[in-house]
Amino acid sequence: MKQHHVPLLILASLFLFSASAFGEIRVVSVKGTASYKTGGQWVPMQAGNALAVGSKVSTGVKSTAVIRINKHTLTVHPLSIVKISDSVETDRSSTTRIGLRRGSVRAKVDENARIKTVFRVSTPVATSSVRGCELTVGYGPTMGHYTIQHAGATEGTGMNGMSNIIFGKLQFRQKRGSGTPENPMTGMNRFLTRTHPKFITRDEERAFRLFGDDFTTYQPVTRGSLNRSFMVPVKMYLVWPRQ
Amino acid sequence: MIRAACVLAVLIAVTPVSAQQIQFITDLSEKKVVTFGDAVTIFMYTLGRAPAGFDADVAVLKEMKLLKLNKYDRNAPLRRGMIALMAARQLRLKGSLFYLMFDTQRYAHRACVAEEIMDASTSELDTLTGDELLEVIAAVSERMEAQQ
Repeated sequence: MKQHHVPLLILASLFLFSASAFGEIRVVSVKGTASYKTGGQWVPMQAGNALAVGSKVSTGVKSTAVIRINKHTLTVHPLSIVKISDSVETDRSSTTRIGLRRGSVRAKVDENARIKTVFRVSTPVATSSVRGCELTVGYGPTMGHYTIQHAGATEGTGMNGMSNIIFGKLQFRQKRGSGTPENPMTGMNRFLTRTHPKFITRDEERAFRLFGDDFTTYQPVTRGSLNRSFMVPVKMYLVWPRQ
Repeated sequence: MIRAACVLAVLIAVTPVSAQQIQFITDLSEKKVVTFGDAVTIFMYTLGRAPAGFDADVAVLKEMKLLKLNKYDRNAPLRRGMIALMAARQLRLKGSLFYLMFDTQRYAHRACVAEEIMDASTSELDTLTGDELLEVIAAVSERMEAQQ
């Protein structure tokens, strides 16, 4: 008789374990139109809905959905489709995997030094792993994958396994047809300004304006190179305002 | 037959507009080549209006001066230049001097590239997949909200 109870006990313990391991996924708020797919059908999403691991979420035009995944917050931006692929929470670890098929999401990851946290957002061409606490990941068929870091750092891994750690204003970008990620400085063009030595002639200054640094490029060239370090001499003249 | 038609009409009337939008977006996403009619419908959603049929929607967009030709083909494959022109007119883009001068699909596409709504590797003659159209619309919608 007791032998018959053993499989039942194992099943019950497995059920209890799984219930505690899978974290809670709950919709916090919905602005506009959003639906989630369950059982092959799209169901309108409302605040308070509980979602299961494997659920797909789709947002409409000018619509946003905020989802709480354990202690993390995921904001699904307009015209996006995401899948909550994995969400496991234990006393010592937290693992969340999001699949982003189209659009963009902003993730705010709860930081706790005692818990090993894995939070990954994957698109068809790359994966961003959060090492800090807040980031935006987007994907489109022509623009490709992009990751913008708001706080902390993120590791971006492209199609060929090449990874970059980004922080501050750096961005991780990987296009669909490209083998390697773009230079992390790509998104910083608007923040950069061209400088040249202070003591140059007027002709040299004009040449700089016309040709940039084409004549003074240090080898190896910086364009198109990734993960290469080389020394570049820079002279700086610091001038404080007179008091 | 009549009863079935009545039931269908009631079902369509009861189905929320939001569910229709998600269904339209899901269907659009699966398309390999989208049509001009698809672009008109999604643009109506972007403007916050419920689509009311191709001719009625075109009339609304003409009134808003987003479309200017006399006749449009609903089933014509959408070219990137077509949606670029609608986007550039809606957002009043000024990133291309030639667009401001000529108001054509070619230079509207250039203006969209300058504003990072479209990628520089694309052409105004490209046809679009459903996901590519949604990518453009997401960028346009984002800028529209930023302008407000």
